Amino acid sequence: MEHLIPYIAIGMILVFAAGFAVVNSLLGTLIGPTKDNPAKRLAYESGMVPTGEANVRIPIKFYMVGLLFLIFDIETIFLLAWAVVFKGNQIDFASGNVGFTQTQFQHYGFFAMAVFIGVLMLAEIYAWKKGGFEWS
Amino acid sequence: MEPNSITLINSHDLALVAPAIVLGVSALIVLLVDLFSMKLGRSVLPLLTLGGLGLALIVHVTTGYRGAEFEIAFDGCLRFDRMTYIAQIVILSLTLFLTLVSPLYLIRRRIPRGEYYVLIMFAALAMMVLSASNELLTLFINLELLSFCLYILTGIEQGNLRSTEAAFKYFTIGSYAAAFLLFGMTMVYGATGATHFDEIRVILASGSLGGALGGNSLFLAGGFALMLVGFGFKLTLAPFHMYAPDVYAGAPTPVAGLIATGSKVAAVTAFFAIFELMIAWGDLPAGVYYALYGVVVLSIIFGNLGALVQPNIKRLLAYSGVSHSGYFMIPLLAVMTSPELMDKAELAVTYYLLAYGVMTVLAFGVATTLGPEGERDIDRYAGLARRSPVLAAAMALALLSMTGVPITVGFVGKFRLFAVAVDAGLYPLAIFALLASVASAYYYLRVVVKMYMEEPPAEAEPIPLEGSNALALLAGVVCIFLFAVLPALVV
Amino acid sequence: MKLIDWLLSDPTLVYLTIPLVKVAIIFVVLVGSVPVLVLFERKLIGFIQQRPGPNRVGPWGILQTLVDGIKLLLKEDFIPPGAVKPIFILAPLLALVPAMLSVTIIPWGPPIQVTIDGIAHTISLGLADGISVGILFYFAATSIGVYGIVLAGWSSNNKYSLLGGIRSTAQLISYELALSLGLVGVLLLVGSFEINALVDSQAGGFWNWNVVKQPMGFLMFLVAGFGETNRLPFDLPEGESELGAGFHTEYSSMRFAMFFMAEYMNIFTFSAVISTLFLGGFHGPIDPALLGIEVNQWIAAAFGVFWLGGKIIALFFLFVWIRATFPRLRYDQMMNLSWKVFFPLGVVNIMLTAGIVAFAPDQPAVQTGALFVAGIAQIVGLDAIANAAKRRALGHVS
Repeated sequence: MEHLIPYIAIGMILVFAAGFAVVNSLLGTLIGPTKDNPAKRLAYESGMVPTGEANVRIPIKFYMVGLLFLIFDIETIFLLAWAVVFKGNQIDFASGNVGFTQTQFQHYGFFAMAVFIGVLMLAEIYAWKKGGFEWS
Repeated sequence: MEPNSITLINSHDLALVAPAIVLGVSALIVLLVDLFSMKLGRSVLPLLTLGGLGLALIVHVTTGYRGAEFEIAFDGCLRFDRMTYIAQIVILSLTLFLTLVSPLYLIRRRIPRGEYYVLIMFAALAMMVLSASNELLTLFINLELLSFCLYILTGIEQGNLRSTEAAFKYFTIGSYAAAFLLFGMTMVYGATGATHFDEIRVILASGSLGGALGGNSLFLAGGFALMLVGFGFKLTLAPFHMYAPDVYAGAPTPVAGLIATGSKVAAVTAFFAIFELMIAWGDLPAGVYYALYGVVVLSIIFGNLGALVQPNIKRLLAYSGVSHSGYFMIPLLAVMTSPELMDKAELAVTYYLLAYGVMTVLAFGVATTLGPEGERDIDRYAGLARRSPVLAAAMALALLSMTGVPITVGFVGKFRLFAVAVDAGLYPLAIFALLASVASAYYYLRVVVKMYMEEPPAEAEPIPLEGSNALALLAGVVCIFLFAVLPALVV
Repeated sequence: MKLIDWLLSDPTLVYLTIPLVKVAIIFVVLVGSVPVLVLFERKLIGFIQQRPGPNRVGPWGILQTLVDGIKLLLKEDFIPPGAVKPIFILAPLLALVPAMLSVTIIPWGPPIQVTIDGIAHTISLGLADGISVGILFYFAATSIGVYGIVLAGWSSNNKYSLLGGIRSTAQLISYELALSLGLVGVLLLVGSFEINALVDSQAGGFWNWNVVKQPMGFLMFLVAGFGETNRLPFDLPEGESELGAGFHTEYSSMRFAMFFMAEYMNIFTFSAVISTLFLGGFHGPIDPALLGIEVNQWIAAAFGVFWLGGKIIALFFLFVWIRATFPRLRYDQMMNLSWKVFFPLGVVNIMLTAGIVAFAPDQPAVQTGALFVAGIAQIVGLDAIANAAKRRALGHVS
C-alpha cells in the first residue's frame, strides 16, 4: 500500500478545492442582491429578443470530431504505453530468461510500431480525403 | 504465462495468420485505390478484392494447418485446429462467392463500392481471427470488428430507409448483445482469474477456481449463461432472433448473405471454443444444459413457424437460419450428456458449417443476381424456371438442400448432426428435429413449386446472367453435390 | 495526548501532517496566484499596447484584481429560468476542482531530509510527485475540466452558450490529442510516467533538458497547451464577436469568477507541467556540482522553487505576450492545425525519436545531437510547408 500514500495528498487537495468551490458558489448566492425584472429572464442574445429554441441542432461535424477523437485518442493511449516500455528498462536482460537483447527488443518495438502507425496514418488519410476535417 | 518468459512475435505465429495478413493488406490496398483513383479505377476494385481473397485462400490452404492436432500462436491467443481450418476456408470461400455476385447489384443500387469491398474484406478478416480466437479479449475484439463492419454494411445504401432502419436495429441489438457477452466474460474472468482459454480450461479442470471473486462458482455459471445469451443474439438463436428477419430484409442482399452465413460460421466456431470450456468444468450446473436445450427447441419451433408465413424470400431465409442455428446446437447438447462424443460432435458441427454456408449463400446469391425482383415477394419467383432456368435450378437446389433431401450437403449435414444426438441417447430431441426438418419442406418447396409450376407474370422478360455470377452459382451448385457425395473431402 | 503531539507522532506525521502542510501551502499559492497573474497580465498588456493598464486602485493598481473580486462577490447570482439548475450549478465546480488537482504532481525542488523526534524523514517538495501514473494524472484531471465547460454551455439554455460549449469541447479534445503526441517523445527518452524520473533525467545542465532533445515535441506541447487552456489565439469558445462570452455567457457573480479562476489556474498548472517535462523542472541551467559548488539541501530546495517559479513566470509572460500580439484563429484554421498539421507531425516526430533511440549509437552525446538535429529539421520543414501554403493561398486570392 506504500504507493497509495501520495494519493492522500490528492484526496486532501480535492477536499480543499471542493470546499473552496462550494464556499465560492454559496458566497455569491448569500451576499449578492436579488432583483428580478422581465428582461433579465430572457436569454442573452446580444440585446435582441431571443429567437427560436435554445437547444439548436448541433452540426454533424462535431460528431465527426468526437468519433475521430475516440479513434485517435485510443491509438495515442497505445502509443503512451509503448513509449514507456520502448527502451526496455523494465526488462532484466541479464537474467537469462529473455531470449533476445535490448537492441533487438528496441528494433522489434520500432518496426511493430511502424506497422501500427502505418495503418493509423492510412486512417488519417482516409478521414482527410473523405472530408472529415473540412469545416467550411 | 510465466511472468519472466517474454516472447516476441515469431515467424511461426506469422505463418499461421498469414492469410489474415494478406486479407488485411489487400483491404488497405483496396481502400487506397478507392481513395486516390478516378472513376475508371473503381472498376478494378472487385478484381482487387477477388485477388486478395483468392490469395488469402491459397495461402491458407498451402500454409495454414499442417495436420497437427492443434497449433497455438501469439502466446495462446489464437488456436488453429481442424474446425478452425475448415471454418476459415468456408469463410473465405463465402466472401469470395459474395464478391463475385455483387458488382452488378452494387452498381444498380448505387452503393459506394470502395467502402463496400473494404468492409467485406475487413469482415472476412474479423471472421477468420474470430474463428481462431482462444482468448476472451481476442474473441470479443474480433466479434466487435466483425459486428461493426456488418452494421455499416447493412446501412451502406444511403437514402434507403429500410436499409437505414435495419442498420439501426442491428446496431442497437448488436450492442446490447455485446454488453451481455462482455459482462459474461468479466464474470468468467472474475471467477477464474484468466482470459486465455487454455488457462481457464486448466483451472476449471483442477476444480479450484481462483480469481478476484474468490472462486465463486455462481459467477462462473452466470458468466457462461450470459455468454450464451450474447452468442444467442449473434447466432440468431430463439428467443434472441427477433431482429434477424428485419435486418436481412433491409440489408443489401449480399450483405444479408454475409450476415447469414459468414458471421454465423465464425460465431459458431468461436462459441464451440467457449463450449469446450463449459464442458471442461466438472460442476457445470444442470441449468445451463436445460437452458441450451430450451434454446434449441425454441429455435427450431420459432424458425419453422416463422418461415411458414413469410411472403418475403429474405425473411424466409432469416427464419430458416434461426432453425438451422438450432440444429447447430444439437451435438453440443449431446456432448453435455455424454462427453465422450466430443470428437464426433466436433466433426458434425464442422461439416454442417460447410453445408449450411454453401446452401445458404447459394440462395442469397440467386436473390442477389435477381436484383430488385429477387429480394421481395416470393410471388415474384413465379415461373422463374421459364425466365432463367439456371437461377431457378440453383435456387431450387439450395432450398432442397436446406430441407435435407438426399445427395445434397444439407442431407449429409443434418444426418450427422442428428446421429450425434442419437448416439447420446437423446431420442426425443432427434425425433423432434427430424420432424421439424420434414415440416420445413412445406415452405422451402413452396418456393420451388412457384418457380417451376406457375406461370410467370405477363410482362416478365428473361433474366440475363452475368459471367461472374454464373461462375459463382456454378461453383455453389458443384459444392452442394461434391461434398455430399464425398464428405471425406471435408472431414 | 495533546493534539500537537498526535499530529507529530510518526504515522500521523507521515500520512497526515506533512501532506496537510504541503496542501495548505500549495492551496494558498494557487489561489493567491490568480489575482497576481491577472494583474501581471493586465499591466503587461497595457505596456505592450502603450497604455497604463490598471493604475487607480492602490499604488500601480495592485489592488485592482482584489477589488474586482469583491465586485463580483456583490453581484447578483443569477440562474436563468430556462437553465437546468443542478447542472448549471455543478458546471463551475467541475471546471475549478480539476484545475486545482493537477498541480499536485509537480515537484518544486529536490527532496529534503529532516529529523523529527530522532526519526529521519525524506520530504519531497511536491504533493503527489511519487504517484506511479505520474504525468497521466495531469491528462486525466484536465480532461475532467472539459465537462465543466460542455455542461455549462449545455445547461444555460442559451444558443451562444451551447455553441460555445460544443466548440470548446471539440477544440479541447482535438488539442488533447496533440498534447499527448507531444508527450510521447519525452516518454520514449525517459521510459517512465513518473514525474520524478522525468525530472531526474534532465538534471545536470540545460543540455540535458528535453527541450533540446525534443524541440518539435516541445513546440507541439506548447501550442497544444494554448489550445487546452483556451487562450488566445485559441480562445474561440469565448470569441466575443461571434458568441458573446461563449459557454459562460449566462454566468454571473462568483460562478463566473470560478470559471475565471479555473482558467488562470490551468495556465499556471500547464506552465508548471511543461517546465517539468521539457525545461528541466526545478533544475537550474547548470548543476552547481559541475561548478564545484557544494550546496546545502535547504538552499537547493530554495533554488528549486526559484527556478521552477521563474520558468512559470517566463511562460506566463509568453502567454500574455502572444495574447497581446496574435489575432484569433478562425475555427476551421484551428481544427486544421490540430488534425492536419499536429497529428501527422506528431507521429513523424515519434517515429524519428524512436528510430534514433533504437538505431543510433548508445552514447548520450550522439543521441542528444541526433535528436536535436531531427527536431530542428522538422521545425524548419514545417515552416517551409507553412510558407508555401501561405503563398499559395495568397496567390489564390489575388
